[in-house]
Amino acid sequence: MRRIYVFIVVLLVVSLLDLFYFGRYAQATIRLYDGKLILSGFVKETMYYRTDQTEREKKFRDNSFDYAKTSAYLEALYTIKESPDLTVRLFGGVKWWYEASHRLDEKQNRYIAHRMKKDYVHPRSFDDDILTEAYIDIIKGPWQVRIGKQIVIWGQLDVERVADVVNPLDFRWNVPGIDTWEEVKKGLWMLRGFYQSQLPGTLLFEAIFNPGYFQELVLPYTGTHWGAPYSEPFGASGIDFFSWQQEKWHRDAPTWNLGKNYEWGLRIRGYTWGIDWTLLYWNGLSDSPVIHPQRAARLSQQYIFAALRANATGSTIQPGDWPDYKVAYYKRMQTFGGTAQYYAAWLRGSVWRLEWFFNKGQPFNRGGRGEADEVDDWTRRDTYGFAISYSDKFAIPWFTRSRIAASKRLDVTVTYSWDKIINNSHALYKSALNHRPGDSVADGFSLFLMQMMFNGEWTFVFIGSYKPRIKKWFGAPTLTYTFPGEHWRVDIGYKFYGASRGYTQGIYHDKDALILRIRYEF
Amino acid sequence: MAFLHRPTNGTVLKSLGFIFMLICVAGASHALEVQYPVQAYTPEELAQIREWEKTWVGQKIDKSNIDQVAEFIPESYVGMFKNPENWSAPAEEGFYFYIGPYKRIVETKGMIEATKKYAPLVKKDSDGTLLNYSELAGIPFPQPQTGLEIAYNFDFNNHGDTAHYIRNSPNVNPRSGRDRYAEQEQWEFFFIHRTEVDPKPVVPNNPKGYHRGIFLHMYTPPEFLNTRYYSMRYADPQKDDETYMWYSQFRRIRRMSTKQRSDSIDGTDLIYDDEFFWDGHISRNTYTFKGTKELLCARHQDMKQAKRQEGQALPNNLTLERCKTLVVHADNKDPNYIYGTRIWYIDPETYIILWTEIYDHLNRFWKCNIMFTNDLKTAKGETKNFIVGYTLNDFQRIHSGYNIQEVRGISIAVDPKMFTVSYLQKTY
Repeated sequence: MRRIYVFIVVLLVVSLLDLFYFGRYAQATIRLYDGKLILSGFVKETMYYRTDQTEREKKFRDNSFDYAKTSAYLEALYTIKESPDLTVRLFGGVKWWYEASHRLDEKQNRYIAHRMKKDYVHPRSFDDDILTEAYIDIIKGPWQVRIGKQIVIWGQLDVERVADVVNPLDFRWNVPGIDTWEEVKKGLWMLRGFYQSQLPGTLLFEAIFNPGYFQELVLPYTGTHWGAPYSEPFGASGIDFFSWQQEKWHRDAPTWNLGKNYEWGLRIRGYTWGIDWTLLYWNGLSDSPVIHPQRAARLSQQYIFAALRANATGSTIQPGDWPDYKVAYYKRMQTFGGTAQYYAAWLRGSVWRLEWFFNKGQPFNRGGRGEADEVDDWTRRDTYGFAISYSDKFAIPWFTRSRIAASKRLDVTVTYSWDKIINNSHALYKSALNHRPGDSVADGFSLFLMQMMFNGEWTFVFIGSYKPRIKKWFGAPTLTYTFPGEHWRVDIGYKFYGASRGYTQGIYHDKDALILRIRYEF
Repeated sequence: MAFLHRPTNGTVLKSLGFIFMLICVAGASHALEVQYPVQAYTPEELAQIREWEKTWVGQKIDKSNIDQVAEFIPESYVGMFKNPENWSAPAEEGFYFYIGPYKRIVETKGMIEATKKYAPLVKKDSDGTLLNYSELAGIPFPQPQTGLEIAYNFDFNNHGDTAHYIRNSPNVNPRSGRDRYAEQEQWEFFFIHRTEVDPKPVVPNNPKGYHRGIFLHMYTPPEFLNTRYYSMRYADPQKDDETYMWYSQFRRIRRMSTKQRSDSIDGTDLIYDDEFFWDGHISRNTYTFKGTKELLCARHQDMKQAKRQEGQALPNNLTLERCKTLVVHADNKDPNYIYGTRIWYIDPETYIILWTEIYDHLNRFWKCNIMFTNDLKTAKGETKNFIVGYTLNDFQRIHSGYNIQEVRGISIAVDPKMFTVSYLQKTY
């Protein structure tokens, strides 16, 4: 424990020294070659101090600091040519991280599976982990083409991903709304084109073609802050069951294959009767797998035998070589969707946003009453849903006019989301979609509040959600201080979760933690 | 020679009648001719100014002698000079500026021609509201008689039809002596009231009826890097502005609310209505013309001369000249508006607001802001007096804002397509 405190104190002292002696005279975004090359990015240190851990989890922890990540992001924009007729630019982004909590916690170090730890602690693959984006952007007249690795945002809501279907997410360390999309989303190699028409509604056409480069959704690793708690099967130590399965899913994920893994999509943006709208279509592989139940059982047996052997001999679990058969399948599906934004001048000047989707042939596992351990088959279902949000600004009596708020109003966004599975049955495994076992419908509310204070020196943000059908909630108030100059920010916050016990409880219900973050942005 | 003949009485009367008629016709035609450009001073007044300048031009004004020119400076700023320590002025020097000679500002040829052409065509209703607002250009009321007419003249200053500038606008906390930086690149494009760049006076094919577009690309603070937005002002005062933002951190194009224009702009002392010291439809206020006031103004300010340390509320080394400003009280029609009265001190030669004093909703003095302008070359080779910066001071909260506008071009080619959603998201 002593090492932890030394580490934290050193970190804070170095940060503060840097802040007060160097931050004051720091320069703006780096521009080189007469502004042709622009570099920007951030370095940040994020720590979570857990305030809620189950007794079972405490067995595998030395302390409550289970997340201490130093991360950096650098993006570069190089303008090759810029004229009214033709613009050519290169854009690239790289990220790096080091998650040091295992250095602060001997037990955590021991109980994160070795293979997972290597992926978790620092980047391992340049393409998968470090390179977020790299593309050339060519603009000529009404045409625009981007070729390379890209992150695409098709949604317009803050956190909900109703119509945002292109890039898969990486949940190993980050969550949307708290971290940037460069950290949360995985870039895809693709060809993306736009055409700005002069048709009524000034329609903007967009097309995407991914020539078979696949990335799957990455779930948090067992034993880490965001992951499920480690458990010792049959009292034996070593790789845990979920990590064993998760690794196999990763190994089964498709690699480059133009013939099988291609993805493509279309989107049209327009403006009609005061509404900004988009319509979209996406044809691609599902980011998350369905499991072949019989093969999954064989894989489980391999693990269980290894665990029993380890228990009997007192060694660690060694499940052996990875089998050749596939367990996880990433099935093709189609999404139809759209977005709409409307400025309601007649309603306080509020902004309303709507997103909707229709998933055709969404793959599901099924079996028994839909529990994970009852899965015996997979099937497809059509699903549809929407989310609607209301954004407004409110003057709070006395407070807004006070020196604290300095005339800045409270930004409020309330969102309601709803989705339904057509031909639902109890047998569908859908807890990850926040559906109760027999319920074809899931819904939820989310709330975003932001209040700037003292002329922007302090900012209070609250992000929260509540899902009434399954009684699951989340809240995260955060206070940010903006240091003088332009680079340094420090955040102090708290995140808390709640869920009724059972099927939809998920893994976040006990992740309550104090958030400490210091950022240098440039 | 008949006119040497001694006239009879009847002939004299006829001749006098004819001469009177000529005088009347000549007088009438003189009244129809638009007198523009105008000058802040009559020749007699200017002679007095020049006499005063013999004593004062070149003089450094600071805490020691501010009282001697206090009649030409808003009282609140005199207080700043007397108590510089409250406003993070340099410890040794305090605040200071120099006095320069008054220089007349003449508008561009395009503005003069448009004024002469369109001012006689102005149509008003009984309230003084312009009925053909979108068809006019130039200064609609070259000899304004009311506050509303002066306000319209301010509104018709088209900033050269198009403009492009870089804004360095630190948010200043004099209490702590620290700045928080903000840097943006901004373009302006006027769809109507055009006098400099073809097409004039209006851009054809403007079905939505835009008045003006502003495009902003942000560089700092870093969380706003490459965030871009554009805001369209409609000519129709009943319509709210149309604003879209590409928020780079979240990579989303968002429609923004523009209704609540008394919300402060992220941490600054400006509310959305405060840009250019008034940035809203003219019809939202009632105006009272209170006469004229002599003030020292920064009408020919080279911002490279301005000296300022971090946290300093008001830059030093400015050069201020006398100007007989038009004083207009602007009171918002919304009874719940954040401000009480705004007092505008308007340049009679350009109709730029040079000083403004703002009172809160309880009519307690709140803010005082000074505009810096300078004569700059336009792309057409003419000279246009243009905003090059300003200082904002909040006297209730002791907080400030500073802005330097590095002008890249006036009356330049700006593609109106940049005010489209597809243009917002470029490369990044």
